Amino acid sequence: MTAQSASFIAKATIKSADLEHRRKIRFNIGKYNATVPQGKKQFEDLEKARQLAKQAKWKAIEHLDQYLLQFEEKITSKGAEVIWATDSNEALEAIGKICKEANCSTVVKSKSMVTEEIHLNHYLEKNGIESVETDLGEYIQQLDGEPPYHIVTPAMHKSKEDVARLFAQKLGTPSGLSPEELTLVARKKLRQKYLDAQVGITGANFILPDIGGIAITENEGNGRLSCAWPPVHIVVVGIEKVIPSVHDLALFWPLLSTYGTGQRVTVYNSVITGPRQAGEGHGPSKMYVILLDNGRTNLLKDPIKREALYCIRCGACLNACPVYKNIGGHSYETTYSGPIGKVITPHLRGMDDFKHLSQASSLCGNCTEVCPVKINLHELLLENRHEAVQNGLSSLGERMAWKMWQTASMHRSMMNAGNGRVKNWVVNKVFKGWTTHRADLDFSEKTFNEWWKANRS
Amino acid sequence: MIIIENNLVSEELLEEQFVCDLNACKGGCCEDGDAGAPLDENEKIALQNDYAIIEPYLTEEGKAVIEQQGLFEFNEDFGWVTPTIKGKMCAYGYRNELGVITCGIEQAYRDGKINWKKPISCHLFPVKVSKSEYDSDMQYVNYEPREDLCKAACSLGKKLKVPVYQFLQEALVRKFGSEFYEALEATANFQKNPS
Repeated sequence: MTAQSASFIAKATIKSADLEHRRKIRFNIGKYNATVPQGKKQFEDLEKARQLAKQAKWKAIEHLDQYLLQFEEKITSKGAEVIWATDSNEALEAIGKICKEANCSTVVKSKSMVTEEIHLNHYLEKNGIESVETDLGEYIQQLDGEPPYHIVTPAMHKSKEDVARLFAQKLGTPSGLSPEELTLVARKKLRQKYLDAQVGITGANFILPDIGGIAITENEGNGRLSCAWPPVHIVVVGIEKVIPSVHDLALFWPLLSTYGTGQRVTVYNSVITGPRQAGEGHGPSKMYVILLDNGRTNLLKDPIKREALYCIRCGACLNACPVYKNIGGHSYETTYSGPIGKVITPHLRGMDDFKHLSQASSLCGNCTEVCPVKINLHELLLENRHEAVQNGLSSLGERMAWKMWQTASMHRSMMNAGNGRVKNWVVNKVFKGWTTHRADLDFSEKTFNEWWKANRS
Repeated sequence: MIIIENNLVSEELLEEQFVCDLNACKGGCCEDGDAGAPLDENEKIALQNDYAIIEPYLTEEGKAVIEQQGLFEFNEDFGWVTPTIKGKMCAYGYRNELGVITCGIEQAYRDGKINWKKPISCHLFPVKVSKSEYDSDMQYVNYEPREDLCKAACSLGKKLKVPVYQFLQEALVRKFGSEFYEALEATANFQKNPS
């Protein structure tokens, strides 16, 4: 067992026994579950919309090379600079260089999972630059020194009481403030940061190659302020975020908001095609787009698993996952948690260290059922398991157990050996691992085969 | 022995492993033992201030005991402690639907009604903090799980390989501050990898 998987099991076991955690998650996911059906009503034919979205993403990923070059050409012609980053280090170095040139002491950031993936805040802090999360959920998490818990709702595991307490401790606000009052406190604190910042960093929800633009979706207006107010705007985006055309937004915007939060369409949707142009009065004078690979091409080169790159990061699979709801987002110790995290992380960060995530699933398929772009998530988990075994990454104990299982399953006499009590003893007492978190197994006295022989022959 | 400022910390906090297994013990530390939970001076004041908020979370029996004996009582061996119901469950506890003893103070905290979670002695359990008899500035920080009651927690900790100090991170930070915890963690890392 690797240190990473041992830590996952420990954290998951502790968290799943935390009933207060489960209560908060049930409450918050319950609200999500109540809203999503309302959002879905806007689609005349939801299945068709999902199918069309999948086809659009298929097209984008199959022609990713051409689309990315087209995007670069178009946005460069408007004065933005495109930087291709193979890994986190290249992305961070590029950001460091830009910040240095801009004499940057403060960065404002909108919510972006890809900047979590490259540990941008840590890097900036190390280089003496204050990095301020401006999304309210991310701001809460930053105050608490925690990574996001969920890819869409970063502070989902905190109750309003937890947040009030955190603000009282860290910002000295009176205790017991209401969510509205807390939001106003954050707003006041953050507004000044926008004015101070020399650089704004955002992610992007979509790359639009036909017009050379990026699209940002958000609910608080902080993303728009982050990309429009500071003199320099840096976009960090994974290469898989391409959709073929700006016209596809008519499909993807409502899908993303419906499956992400249950809204018909998210409050702020911005399309940005470059820095401030001649004759324009506002906007950053410089814009950089960092296209990040960081392991995504490992998925791209695999014709089956590249489907995972269709993901639009709506978080629906997390909310639907019975495992996520019990163990929570932090047990995974990965940037991307839940079903999609289990599928992609082994390819982004190494199969050996993260193969255990693909095992942490009951394969119920609810993730596949709720995915707006119809990624076969549970089947991709099986593909990951298969790849791990093919690469010899399974443990000796596991291989032995399956060998024994295979031998027993293929020999009727072995299945008939011993009675129910002996089998109960073997499974419940000898292989105790089975019963650690489950009730005892109870075998019938005779196998079906024995019963058939006795009663029908 | 690890010395962090004026605290003498038992190495067992780093070497032993522990994860509460409430399914097995049902929160037995809230009813087992010779007295209620030890309280410090601040907690006594907080109980006086917050009792009206905490009261609705308590059982009828608990409330009756508190009415009769007071919010806390003095014990010769442990100092000021919470009262208990017939020498067993803490008067501030109640059993939830799963039969696990839950703290009424903690529930009020979770609902955002008070700003302290529960007595620090409960939060730290099975780590016990006591004053040195020889030097009033010194404190002992020892790991003292109950032999029977915590058996399941010790095996769960071993199985999951979670050291005591990691499991109790929140409580240790609450009691001693984050620098203390970082020092413990650094010591643990050094012991694992002395180079």
